[in-house]
Parts: sequence; C-alpha cells; structure tokens
Amino acid sequence: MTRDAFHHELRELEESVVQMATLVEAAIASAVQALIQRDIELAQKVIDGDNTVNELQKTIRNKTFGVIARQAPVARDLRELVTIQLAINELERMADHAVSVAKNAIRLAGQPPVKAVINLPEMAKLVRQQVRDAIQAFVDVNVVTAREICARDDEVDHLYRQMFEELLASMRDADNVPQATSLLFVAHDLERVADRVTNICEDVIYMVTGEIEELN
Amino acid sequence: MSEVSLPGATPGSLDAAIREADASKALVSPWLPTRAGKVPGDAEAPQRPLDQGRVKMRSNGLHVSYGTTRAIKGVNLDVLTNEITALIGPSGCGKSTFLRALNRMHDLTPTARIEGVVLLDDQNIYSPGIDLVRLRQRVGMVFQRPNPFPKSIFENVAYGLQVQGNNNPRELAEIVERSLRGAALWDEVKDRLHTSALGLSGGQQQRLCIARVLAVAPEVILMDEPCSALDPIATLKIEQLMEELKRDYTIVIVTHNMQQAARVSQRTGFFLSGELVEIGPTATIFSRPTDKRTEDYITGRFG
Repeated sequence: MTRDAFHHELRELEESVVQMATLVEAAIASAVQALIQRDIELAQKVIDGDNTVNELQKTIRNKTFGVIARQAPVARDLRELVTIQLAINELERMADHAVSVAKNAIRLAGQPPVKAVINLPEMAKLVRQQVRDAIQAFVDVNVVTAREICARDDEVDHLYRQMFEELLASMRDADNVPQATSLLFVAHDLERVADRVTNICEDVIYMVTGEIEELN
Repeated sequence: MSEVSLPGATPGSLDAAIREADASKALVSPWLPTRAGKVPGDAEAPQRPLDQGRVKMRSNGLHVSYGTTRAIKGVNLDVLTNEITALIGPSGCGKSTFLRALNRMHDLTPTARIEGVVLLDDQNIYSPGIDLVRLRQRVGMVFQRPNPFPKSIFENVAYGLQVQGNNNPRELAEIVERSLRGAALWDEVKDRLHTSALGLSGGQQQRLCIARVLAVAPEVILMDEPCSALDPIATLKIEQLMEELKRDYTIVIVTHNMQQAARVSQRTGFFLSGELVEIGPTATIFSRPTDKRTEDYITGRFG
C-alpha cells in the first residue's frame, strides 16, 4: 500500500520551495548589486518581482493545506509539510528585506558612495551562501549542514557590527547622515535575512529529527 | 558580485499560470540546489519505562508457531490498564496471531504451538490448570465479522450468563439492558429485544457482539479488525463506543486502518514479520516513530 501519488505531490511541493528560494536568493543578489552599481532599473525589477514571490508563497501554502486535508500525512511527511509552511514564510520575509534594500538603492542612486559600502558585497555574499546552503540542507534532509549553517551566523553578525560602527563614525560629518542611515538599514536587512536562515535551519532539524531546537 | 541573469526555464512545478504571467519580472539566479539521495532521519527517542502498576497484560518472549511456520517471534509487549492499545502492520505480520494468543484462541488450532509467557495481572494464562472459560470471560473477543447467534437479541446477550448457570430472569434482564446500554445499542433495540438478532444492520450486529462480551463482565476486550466490515457511520459509532468503554475496560485492537489506530488508541504497536518493531504513545508513533521501518510503513513507503 505505497502512497505514490501522495509522495509525488510532496516532491512537487519541495520543488516549489526550491523555486521560491532561488527567486529570493536572486532578489537579494540583484538588490545589493543595484545598490553598489547605482542601478535604478535593476532595483525596480527587484521591487516588481516581489509579487511573484508572494504569489508563489500563496500557491505553496494552499497546496500544502490541500495535501494535509486530503492525505492525512503522518510522521516525517507531516513534519515536512509543517516545515514547508514555516520555511516559505521565512523566504517571503527575506524577499521583503530584498525589496527594502532595493528601495534604499533607489534612494542612494546618484550619490557618491561612502567608504563603508565596501563591506556590503562581502556581507551579501555570506548571506546569499547561507540561503543556498539552508535550502540545500532542506533538499538533502541534512541536519549536520543545518547546524553548521547556523554556526556561521556569527560571521554575518560580526560584519554587521563592524559596518554599524563605521557608519556611525561617518555620521560625525552631518552631510553623511542621510546616506549612512540608508546603509544602516541595508546592513540590518541583510543581517535579518541571515537570522531567517537560522529559522529555516531549525525547521529542517525539526523535519528530520522531530526535535524543536533553538539555535543562536 | 556575480552577474544576475534573467529567467531561464527552471524545472519544477510552479503553477504554469504564475510562471508565464511573472516570468518577465522574475529574477532567477543560475544557482539551483542539487538533489542528492535522501538520507534517513537520525531521530532517536528513548523508550519510556513503563509504570508497572498500570500493566494489565504482558507478553514475555512470546513465540507462536503453526507447524514449522513461526508467526510470532519473541514478542515482549505490555497492555496498560484502561487504555486502548492498537496493533498495526501489513497483512501477515502476526498482529492478529498475537491478539489471539492473549486469550488462548490458538488452543483450538491443533498445529499451533506457544512458547513464552502471557500475564493477565500476575497470572500466566498458559499455566497448567488455567480455567479457559473463566479466562475468556475475563478477556473477551470481538471479531472482524459480526457473528450473532441465530437467536433473539436478548438471548444473544444473555447467552454467556446462562452458560455460567445464571437463570434468574430479573437479573438477566438487568444485565442485558446494562450491556446493551454499554454497547450504545439499547435505544435502537429496546422495543424488539425478542426479535432475531440477524435482522439488525451490520453495525448494530457488531455492537450486539460487544454487548455480548460486556454481559460477562470482562476486564480486557480484544478486537480483531472490528470495523472492517462496517460502513463509515457504523465505524464511527464503534470508535466512540471504544472511547467510552476504555474507562471501565482495557482494550486491544488490531486494525488495518492506520487512521483508526491514530484516532482511537493511546498506544500503538507496529508488527512486522512476526516481530514487534516498536510500541509507544500513539502521538509519538504517528509523528516521530523511532524505527525507520515504522516510519516507512505508516507513511506508505512500503506495505
């Protein structure tokens, strides 16, 4: 009595989550790139593209509820469906952070960059890698990777604190305050994305072990 | 910073409508996670030590063989007082064989051989000198197909008492009514107690069989797929009845219907190839079982 049709549906849902994650990761990449290159058009694309992410979240959520209602899943199937519901919420909020970065990119376009911006590409790179790795851990059902990704959150926090100090220092020159404030928001958005990665990793651990762990 | 490319076709199951409507706006990076083979979970739940005072029946190293076929291989299982214990597993796993060993039904099968111990309270039911009639009165059985005698409803329920020598009409009437009420059948049959039991519906017949068991005041009720011949409404009635019965009795149910096990039982045991793979609180078995074989069975990956 194998439940092939049900497991096919589950696999489709997994694919949709991966699809959503690739959109979100790309949005973060584009938003930071738009900021650094003062590319208003690219920033606008990120803002417009958020709707796709939101729609995908709705679709996955509805399908997940449908599967739960029809298939009465148990054990690891049930945990996976719950994990999918939790993970897509985190992904959707990550996309909102990308939009926030893109809006700041538009605000800052046309202004000469202050020095502190040079740390942003490094921070964005780390955060994007975390997003990729978290989804990879979900696909691989890998608890070890999930824990390891959470441990890496310290690097992002460290960069964030460093940028925070530098931007604060730059504000001694009153002319820098508007731009430094925008950049602070950007750094904060990226830091929040990394926190949400931790949440996804916790969800993956729950999916595999059935244990609710609080990391970081 | 890597170049961000605009959408390429990515495999997957996005709703086509969304994909087409929003492809122009979507920013898809070249990155896609690879899909390695899934590895099993490493969940390990320690077995909960049992509260000895609550054990109603216990099998210790129970083996059951039919001729040269070993149907049950060394099962240790505790049935707790005033709980419903569900036994699940694929066809031929030994769950019904195990159930029948709990009131020595195998005594009727000449080729059957039993080793090990089955305790009812502190007494081994396989000890020499055990009174089988008394045992089966203490440990009653409800079968897959309702099997009323071709007699009246009243006579069906009173039969066990009469076999015991009780012929007091007033006492019989009292016990019949109490048993039929206990089996949630009284209101439906009180005006036709002396008509044939064979005129009842399947669900009513099964509740009559439960009333017949209740009449002899059992301590444990064994149920061997009691709902498999019933429609969903009748099934629901039996399940509700079980919930009420467990206040006064201890119930062990064998069921093919995993959702039924999940709905009605407090503890679930999973049998496979004559072995008890795992037993634990039902919520645990259906949310995070310890053994991968249990998980694969209940999630429909084999069976």
